Amino acid sequence: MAYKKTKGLVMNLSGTENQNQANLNFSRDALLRRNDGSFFKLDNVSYSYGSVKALSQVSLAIGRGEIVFVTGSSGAGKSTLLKVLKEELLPSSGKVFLPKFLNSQIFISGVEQESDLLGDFSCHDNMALAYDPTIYRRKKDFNNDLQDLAKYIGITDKLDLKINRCNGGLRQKVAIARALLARPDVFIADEPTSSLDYDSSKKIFDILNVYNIKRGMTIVWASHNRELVKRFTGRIIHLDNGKIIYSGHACFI
Amino acid sequence: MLYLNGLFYLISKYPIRTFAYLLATVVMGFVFLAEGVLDKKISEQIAFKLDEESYFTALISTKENYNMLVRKMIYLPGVEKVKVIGPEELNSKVTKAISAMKINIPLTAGGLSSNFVGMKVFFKDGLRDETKELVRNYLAKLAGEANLFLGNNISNIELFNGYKGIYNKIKQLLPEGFKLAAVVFWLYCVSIMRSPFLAIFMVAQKYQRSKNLALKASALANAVILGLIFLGITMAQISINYINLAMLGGVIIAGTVYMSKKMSWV
Repeated sequence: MAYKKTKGLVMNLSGTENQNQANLNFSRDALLRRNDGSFFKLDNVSYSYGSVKALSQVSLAIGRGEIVFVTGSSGAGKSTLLKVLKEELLPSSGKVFLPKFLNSQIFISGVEQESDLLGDFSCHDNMALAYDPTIYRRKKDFNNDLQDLAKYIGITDKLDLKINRCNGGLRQKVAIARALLARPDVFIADEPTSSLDYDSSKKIFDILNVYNIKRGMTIVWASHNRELVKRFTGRIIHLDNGKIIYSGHACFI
Repeated sequence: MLYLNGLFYLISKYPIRTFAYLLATVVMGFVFLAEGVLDKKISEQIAFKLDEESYFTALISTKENYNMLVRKMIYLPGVEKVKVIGPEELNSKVTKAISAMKINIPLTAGGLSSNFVGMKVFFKDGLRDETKELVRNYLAKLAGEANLFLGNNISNIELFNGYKGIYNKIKQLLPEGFKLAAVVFWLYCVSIMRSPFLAIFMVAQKYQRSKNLALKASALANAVILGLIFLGITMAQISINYINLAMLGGVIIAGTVYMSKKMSWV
């Protein structure tokens, strides 16, 4: 697999050397001119893990402030798609337009399937790692946000509990709260509520909705539970075998 | 503030590792920067104990007043001291020598030990052979050659020089050994500190707008510790070896990068 990263842009580099040269005829300005206002734009993006194709000719656009649910069965390519959006993976072929091309200050945060919470730390201490003095004027503001979030998702009395002793649901709540405390512009979550019941998932979604409305936060939420996300407001992108087979609002499914 | 928060977390969650790391950094800083003090301490602690020794022995007949001979010998300018070997000691030495040869010679009263006393005359350091010969001749003249058996001149100068060479080598190598030990100990502490350090700062970085958080935190911590050591040494008016300072800087930079970067062989 060959790829190159030039001036922050991911270039299409599949195929032969000559094709690669031809595909390098892109520039940041050209992509910006072509952009129709989308925050994320994927054009015929493919990604393979060796011989296994995880994404195949995926094209999609996500607007600023949009709520998008990526659904599909296990192995459909949801996590790979999210990694491409987070720039953790460079596609084997295709073009990718990322929010940072519009503004380098755009901050992406979120939660992953495998939590990176620190086991020896309490829930509070894990959340406190998100304290960024460049976005909070005072530590007090951060603490207020932390307490508000903890109260809403119902973990106030468990803040001193060590992560090692928490169940999966509580860990997911802490991970989501920590990501939100960083006040991201884009929230990308991979199965964030897989260990939570519907009510808790709804609460999490409500909080994300508030952040979306108040702060214009773009949300990309991957879940294999299509029935759950159908009850929420937002666009659903359904993946199957690495291909998008549906993109539209839940009410039209 | 962000770095301080992270370091505070490390201290509170991993106090032993953090303390070991701080201690190792301070020790390494001191060993490298205050080398003069270390050299002095080493010299004091492992002072060279072996004396240069040069002497000859003599057996003098008990008919002579050997006490008078001892007094006269002591006043000679080239003589350091004179030791009398009494009949018992002499007897035991002779018995030992004979038994070593495995010859059965009975030593009875009236034998060697009762007719002679031993005398050990020590020369002063750096005496020339001619002067030593004069001392021997003087003793022969005092006691009379018929009443005297003179032993050869014995000197430990080669042994002395050998030990002194080893001592000087140890004195020279010990500070380097300390430096090496301090670096190894520090790197060990870096390796045990690296995992929690990276865990905290890599996770924190995912939720911060700042870049290279771990590197900055590690560099800041080391710079602060070494700055304080440098200040302390300067205030104590200890001269700093700038080559050592450069070496220390190199070690610290390498350790800082190792501590704060995820390594991959790919």
